[in-house]
Amino acid sequence: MGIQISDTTTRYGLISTFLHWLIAVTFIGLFGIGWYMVTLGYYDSWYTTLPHWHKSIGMLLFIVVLSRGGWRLFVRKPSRLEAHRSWEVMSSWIAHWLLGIGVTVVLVSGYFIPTAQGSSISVFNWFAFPAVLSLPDQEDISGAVHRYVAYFVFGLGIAHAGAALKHHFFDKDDTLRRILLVSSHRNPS
Amino acid sequence: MTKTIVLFTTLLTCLVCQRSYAVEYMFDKTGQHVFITFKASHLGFSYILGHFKDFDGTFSHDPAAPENSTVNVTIDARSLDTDHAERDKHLRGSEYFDVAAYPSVTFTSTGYTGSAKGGTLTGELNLRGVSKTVEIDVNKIGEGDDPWGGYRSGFEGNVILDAADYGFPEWIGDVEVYLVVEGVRR
Repeated sequence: MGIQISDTTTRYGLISTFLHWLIAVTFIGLFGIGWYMVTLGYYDSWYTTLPHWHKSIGMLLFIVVLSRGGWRLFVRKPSRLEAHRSWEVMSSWIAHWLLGIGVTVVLVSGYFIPTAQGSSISVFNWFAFPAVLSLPDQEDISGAVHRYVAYFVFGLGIAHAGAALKHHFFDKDDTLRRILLVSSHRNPS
Repeated sequence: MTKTIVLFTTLLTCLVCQRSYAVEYMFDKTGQHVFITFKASHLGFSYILGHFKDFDGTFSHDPAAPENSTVNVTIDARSLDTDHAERDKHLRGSEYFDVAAYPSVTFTSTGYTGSAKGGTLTGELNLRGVSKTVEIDVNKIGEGDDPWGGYRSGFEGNVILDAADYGFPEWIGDVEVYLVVEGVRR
C-alpha cells in the first residue's frame, strides 16, 4: 500500500499531512519570533529584521491556510476510528474548527496592524500585500486580537497535541499515525 | 451710604471692564485651524515629524494688557500621528506615551511676559503623569475680523522638551514642539 495523494476513509493523504505539519511548525515558529521580537530594543540589530521575517512568513502562511481551507472543501476527511468515543469525536470537531478559525483570525489581525494607515506588507521584498482597510484605532485593536487569539491558539494547539499523544500512547490507536504517513494498524498484540 | 454705593459701582464697573477687555477665544477646532506638531531626532540621521489630531482649548488675550493672557489646552494623547501605524502603536504603548494610563496631555498657563506681539508664556505641562513648568516662545500672527462675521486671533508657539523629563526613554533626547493656534472670539 503506497502513499495516497488524497485522503482515504482511514487515513490522511500526502497533501493533508503536508499542509497540517507545515502550518503547525510555521505557526509555532511565528509564535516564537513574535514573542521574542516585541522585547527587542530600538537599537537592537534585529529590531527591523525579525518583524520583517515575521510578517513575510505570516503572509505566506496565510496563503497556505487558505489553500488548506480550499482543499478541505473538496476532500472528505477520514471517518472516525472505531475506538473514538462520541465525546472525543465531538470535542475534536470543536477543537479542529477553533484551531482553523483561530489561526485565520491571528493571520488576518496580524495583517491589519502594519496596514492600518495604508502601508503595504512586503513579503521578503519579493512582492507586497496592499492595505485594504484603514479604520480608527485599527492598529491597536488588531494588535490586541492578534496577541490574545495567538495565545489561545497556542494553548489549544498544546491540548490538540496532548490529545493526539494520549490516543497514541494510552489508547494505542491509529489517530496520530493517520497524519504521519506511516503504516497503520498496530498489531493487536 | 453714598460712599458704599459709589465703591460698589466702581468695583462692578471694574469687573465688567476687566471682562470686556480680556477677550476669550475658543480654539477653531471645527475649522481645524489649530496644529500641534512635534519633531524628534531619528538616530541623528534625520527627524520624525508627528502631530496630535485631537485637542481642544481656550485662551484669553487682550492687546492692551498682554500680561493677562491665559491659555488652557487638553490633548487626547491617543490621537498622536506620525504617518506610520506601527510606530504610532509603539508610541501609544507603555514605554512612550502610555495612553492607557495617561490618556491626556494638558497645559495650563501661569503667566506671560512680553508684548502683544510676542513673548514667553509660562505654564504647567502635564505629560505622561509628570507636571513641569515650561516656557513657550509665543509669536502673534494676526488678529481681526474674519470674512464670515467672526473675530479671530492667531499665535504660533515653540518649545523644546527633554523627553526624559517626562519618563520617555533617554535616547529620544530633545523634542521640538511647534504649535499654531487660531482662536475664534466667544
